[in-house]
Parts: sequence; structure tokens; C-alpha cells
Amino acid sequence: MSTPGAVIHVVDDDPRFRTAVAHLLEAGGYQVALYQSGDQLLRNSPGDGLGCILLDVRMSGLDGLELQDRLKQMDSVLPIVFLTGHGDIPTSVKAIKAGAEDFLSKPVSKNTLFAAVERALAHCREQRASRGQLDNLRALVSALTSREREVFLLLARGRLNKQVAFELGMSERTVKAHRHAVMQKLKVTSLAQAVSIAERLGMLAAGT
Amino acid sequence: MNWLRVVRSSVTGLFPRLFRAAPAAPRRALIRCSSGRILICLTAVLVQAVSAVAEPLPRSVLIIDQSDTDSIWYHAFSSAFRSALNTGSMARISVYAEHLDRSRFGGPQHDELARMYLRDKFSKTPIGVVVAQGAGALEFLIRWRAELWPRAPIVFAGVDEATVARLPLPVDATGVTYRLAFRDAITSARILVPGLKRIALVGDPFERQAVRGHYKQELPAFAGELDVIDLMGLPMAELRRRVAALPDDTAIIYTAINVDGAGATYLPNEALAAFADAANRPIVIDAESNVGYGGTGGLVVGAGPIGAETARRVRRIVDGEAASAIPISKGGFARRVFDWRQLQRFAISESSLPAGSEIRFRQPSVWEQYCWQLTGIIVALALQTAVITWLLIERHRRKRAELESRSRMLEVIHLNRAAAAGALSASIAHDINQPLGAILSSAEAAELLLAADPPNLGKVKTILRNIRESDQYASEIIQHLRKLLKPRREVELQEFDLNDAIAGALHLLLPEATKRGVGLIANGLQRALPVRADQVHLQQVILNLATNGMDAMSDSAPGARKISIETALTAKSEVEVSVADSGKGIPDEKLKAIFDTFYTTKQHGTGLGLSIARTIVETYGGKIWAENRSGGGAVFRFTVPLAEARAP
Repeated sequence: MSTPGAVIHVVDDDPRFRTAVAHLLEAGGYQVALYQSGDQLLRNSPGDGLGCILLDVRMSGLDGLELQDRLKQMDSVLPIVFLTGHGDIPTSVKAIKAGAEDFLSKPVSKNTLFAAVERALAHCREQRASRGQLDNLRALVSALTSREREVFLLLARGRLNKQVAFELGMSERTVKAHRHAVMQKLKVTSLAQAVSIAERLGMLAAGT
Repeated sequence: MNWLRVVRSSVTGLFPRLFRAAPAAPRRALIRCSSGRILICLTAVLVQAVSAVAEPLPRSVLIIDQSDTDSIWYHAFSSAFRSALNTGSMARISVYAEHLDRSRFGGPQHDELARMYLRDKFSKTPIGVVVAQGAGALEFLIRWRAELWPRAPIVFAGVDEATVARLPLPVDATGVTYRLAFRDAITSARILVPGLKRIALVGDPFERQAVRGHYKQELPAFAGELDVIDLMGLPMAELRRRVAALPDDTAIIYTAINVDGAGATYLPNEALAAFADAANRPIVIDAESNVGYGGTGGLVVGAGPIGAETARRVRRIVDGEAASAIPISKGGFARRVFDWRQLQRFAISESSLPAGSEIRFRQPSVWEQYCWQLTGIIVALALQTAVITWLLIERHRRKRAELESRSRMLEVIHLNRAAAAGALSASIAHDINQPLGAILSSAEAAELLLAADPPNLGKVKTILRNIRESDQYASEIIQHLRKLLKPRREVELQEFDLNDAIAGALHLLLPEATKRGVGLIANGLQRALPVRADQVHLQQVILNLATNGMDAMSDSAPGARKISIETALTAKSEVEVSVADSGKGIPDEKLKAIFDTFYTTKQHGTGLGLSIARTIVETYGGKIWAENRSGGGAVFRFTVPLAEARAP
């Protein structure tokens, strides 16, 4: 069941619970990092490695939801599994909407916990993988010249060569040449593939 | 009195020569009386009548008393006589008295001696009237008057009717008789002992008694109906023994003892007093002189009225009336007199006595003596009792009301505590899931570790310790909560460290404070703070104040929410607990009103929290008040006396 290399970050201000969960996870073969507060976690920057965060909702100092916010801002890929002693619906809805992986109630059974952790780790893995593909595409797009980028965006939005030439004030032949270069640089063979790249990188959003 | 004694002894013992020198005198008198009695008497009357007209009698009277000078009878007679004699008259009549002591002395020789003594003694003292007191004296006078006081008329007194009838009275003699009858004594005995069956006779033998000699003849008339116990002539000691052992239905009839069977002499009343205390039956008496000496009572002849009547006759004669013209008065001097003390002693009811009986020596009952005072006291006591009863009832009612109000207050306090616990319970429930979660996770971790090969026992040990600690923590929380929720019928006064109460309160408050994002700071004194109170109550005060503080900060920025609980000692051996918040504070004009019942500023407040806090603090002798902090926020302070300061 264990996932080598994965680190479970446990954040709870109750030392006994923290230790108990750590023992359980370790016994389950996970690597565990313990934090007594959200601040401590932030200071130690858990990084982009494979793992997840087990987070107590209610803590003195920075509470669970606040910490979730901060991690999102930092663009963390670590999925968050919330653990709470007194789960109320508003808090759980808030947490899930903000992207929480799971919301568990204390006391939590081993199976539930491990399942949630596994789901979180799988998600993390996916996240990390998809993040790697996008990085490649981003690198391809960044190789375009500014003219080629303009042409690419207009074509991706479904303009005809003629229309692109008119909008950018160039000849249709020139547009065709740029289009060819773009296809080559993006390593695609059809326009449809190029449009897909633009969409995955979020370049088609209004105003971009 | 001394003089009288000298006279008596001189008459009886100091003149033996005189007694021997005149042996023929009685015979001469007898001859004179017997020869030509009528002629002489007639002459005497004429002479007297003439002389009474011609020459008034000397204004003097001589009493010849048959008894001894100390006789009670004579004393009563004499004092009544003297006071009646000279009452209402300017012309006084002199009174002389001589005593023959007839009960102990008598006979021709003694009489002769007495005659000569009297003759010589009164040779220079003219006597107007001679009074003979008693039968013995009258006999003596009748025999010797011609020689001693031939002109002086005789007024006799204290002589019973029978004797008077028997004696040859001179013409110029008048007097007062009385009647003693054995029948009267029996009647009295029947009054005192209703079912009378026996009589005990006490006294000198009848033949020795001058005035009661005829009892001997009367006695057989009653012998059929009554048994007679003859105790006459006994020595005093034996008499006392006998009267103490008389059967029931017996009355003692006392006549007179002058000389007892052992030869000791008494006055009759002395003799009565000498045995009466030993008697077990009522004693009937017949002479007033015996009243008050232990006799129960009877128809008694009184010397006083006789003396007074005698004096009136003497006066009439001295004033010129002929003695022969004054008829002899008969009887009428006996009255029924009873001694109240003796009636009590023999439990004889006054209602059984004949009407008109005189009861002497009555000791008025306390009630009769102090009627008004007693009534007053009883009324006062009754009023007092009523007031006390009323007060006791009031006290009881007040106590009950107090108890009820106290139990009501305890109920209200408990409800408030339950409400406080309810408000905190959500947070506490969260808090309790912490250790429960820890326990579950630890147990499952241990299972996994034990399933491994080889099992990591060292780690399992650590995990077990963690389980134990978590369990303890959970049970502590539950205990605090249970303590808080336990209803109390009575205040449980105990001495405890206030720090413990504060720690307990913090325990309960911490989860809620965490939930609300409130920082909870406790700054206690580093010393024991022994107080005497109900620990849960003081904890409740702290909970109320802290919860209030948290409510007051609900609008404050999350980072600025702080409750700080501090303790300090005051100068008066009290500990002061302060609960400060960093909220908006309290408007100055409301600082007092917030402790009023039902005063609240919260939308869902009951207005009871602070009021109950004040009630609790004041119950234990402390004070509570609120202030605004200079740096913002309010601070509530309360004091509790330190237990060590109270200890003697």
C-alpha cells in the first residue's frame, strides 16, 4: 500500500493526536512529517514532492482553512485531507470548494484514513504529471516569436488566413509562412492540435 | 409578771407561821352562815342597800383566779376584762389579781394560809367588787368573804352552770356561767370523724377535774354507741405512744391535763401541745385556750367574751347597781372553732363543718394572698408564651422560606451552569474527539506493528503510553464537565486552592476560546490560594465572566481577541480574581446595572450570568465589580476571603 518517496505532512496542534497519527501512518509504511501549527509548515515549505497534507481544521493560531488558502496562493500541488473533531457542514463545504481532497471526522479509522491518503497521493501524482506536460507545451509556445504568437492566437480562435492578414495588416502569403512556422515549432501536424494546446494553456480566455 | 410570781409563791410557801396561827377561822364562818340564814341574809341585803345608797363602793376590783398566773384562759379573760372595764369611762376602776393555783394546791391548810395572806395584803386597800374566776375561786370566796371583804359584792366568772347551782351563793353575788357538756364533745367528734365508732379520752381523770367532773356521769349514755379508749391519767410518754396508734374511726377528746401520770405538771394547753403532734386522729377540744396547740377544734368556751361580760357587770355594780338585781348570765359563750392547720393535716374538708364555724390559723393559699400578682404573672406568662410561640412559628416559616429560596437559588445557579456548559459543550465535544481520535489511531498503529514480523515492541510501548495519556486527558474533560453539570441540593463548603478552580475553568474554556479564535492567558500568583467555598460555584463565576468577555469580542479582529485571567492578593487577606477582555468595554453608566437580574445587551442573553456571579461571590463574603481598562476592553474583578485569614 505504501508509496515510496511520498511524505505525509501532518499538521495538528494536539501533540497526542499528532503522534498517534504519525505512528499509524509510519506503521502503514508512509513517511511522515509533523508540524504543530500551520506556520511551522509554511516555514518548512513542504515543496513539490509527492505527498499530501493531513490538516486539523481548528487550531490555535493559523487555522486549517486559512492555511489551505495560503498554500493555494503558493501554488502548492500537495492535496489537503482535512481532519476535524467537530465537522460542521459550512466548514466542510468551504474546504471542499477551496479544493480540499477530503474531509474526515475524528476519530478516523485506519482504512478510511489510508484510503483518503492514497486517493490524495494518486491525485498528487496526476497533478504532478499534468503539470509536467503543460510545462513542455509552455516551453514550445515560448519559442514562438511575437508575430508568430499573434498569428497563433488568432488562428486558434478560428480566424481564416485572410482575416488574420487583414487584422495584422500583412499579406496572406506572410500569414501562411508564419502559420507554417508555428506548426513546426509547436510540433503539431494539424491546426486542431494547435488549438488544443492553446486551450490547455488557458490562452483562449477572454482578454489574453 | 415577776410580781405575780412572788405573790403566788408567798401565798403558797413563805408563810408557814401564819398558816399555823389561825386554825379556827373556817369553823367560825360556817357557824355564821348556818345559824339564822334567812335573817342574816335579809339584814345583809338591807345593809347593803342602805350602804349602797349611803356610801359608794371603792373603785377597785380584785380578781381571785383559781388557776396559775400563766394560764392561757386567765390571760384571755384578764385582757378582755381589763379592756372592757375601763372602756368609755373617765372614772377608772383599779384592778388587782390573785391566783390560787387550785389545780395543784388546795386543802384547808392552804386555804387558811391564803386567807391570812389576802387579809393582811389588802388590809389597807379597799376593794369594791371581788371577781371569782373559776369554780375554785368562787368556793374560796363564798367561804371567806365575810372575813376578807364582807361588803364587796361577788361577780363570778368561768364557772359552769352545774357548779353554780350547787354552791350556796350569797345574795349580792351575780356572774357569768358557762356550760361544758360531754354531749357537745361527742357532737364535735362526729363532725370531725363522720363515721365515728370510738373515742379516746385524754386528760386528767374526771374526778380530778373541777369543771368536767360530771362527764363521768354522762359517759355511760354513749357507751352503747361508741367504744371508749381510756387514756386518762397516763404519763406523757406513754400517752404519746398510745395516741399515735389509734384505730380509724376514732376521735380523741381532750379535756385538760394539769398533772400527768408521772406527776409532771402542765398547763392544759402545754399538755395538749406535748402529745398532739404524735396523735394520728383528730383531737376534740372544748376550751378556747386550747385552740392553736394542736387540737383540731370543737365547741369551745372562750375566756374573752366571759371576761368582757364580767367587766360590764363589775362596772354596773361599782356605778351603783345592786349585784342582786343583776341576773346570772347563762352560757352563750361557746363557739365552734377549728384549727385550719389540723383540718389540713387530717384532710377534713371545711364544707363538712357546721355553718358559722370559726376557722383559725388559716394560711391563706398563695393564690388568695397574691391574687392580683399571680393573675398578672399568669397573664404575662401567657402573653409571653404566645409571643414566643408566634416567634417560633415565624422563625420556622422564615427558615423554611430561606431554605426554599436557597434551594431555588441553587437551582437557578445550576441552570445557569448547565447553560454555560451547554454553550461550551460543542467546543468540548470537539476537544474530546482529539483524545478519542488519538486513541483509535494509536490502537490501530499498534495492531499493524504487532502484525509485522518481527513486531516493533519498543514502538508499541510508546504507543500504549500515548493511549493512556489520551485517555486520561479525555476523562479529565469529562470530569470537569460532570462536576459542572452535577445538580446541588446544598452548598458544598470546602477549602481548596483557587488556582485549581481557575485551572478547571480554563480547561473548559480553552476549546471554545480556540474555536472563537480567542487567546486565553492565565497569570496566576505562584502560591496556594486557600479559600472556603463551593469550588464549582467559583468556577462558574469565572466561566460566566470569561464567556461574557468572549461574547464582547465577537466583533473584534481575530488577532486582537484576548482574555486574561489574573489573581492578586488584596490588603484585606482576600484574593482578587480579574477577568479582562479586549472588547469594546462597557459604557460607564452601565457598570453597575450589568449585575442586575435580567439585564442583558446580548440578543440571546438571559441577563442572569452576571447577576448569578454576584450572588455566588456575595454568598462567600466577596465582592464583584466591573471596570473599563485604559487600553480598551473591560475587566471584571471579584474577591474571595482567604481561608487562612478566617481560621482562628
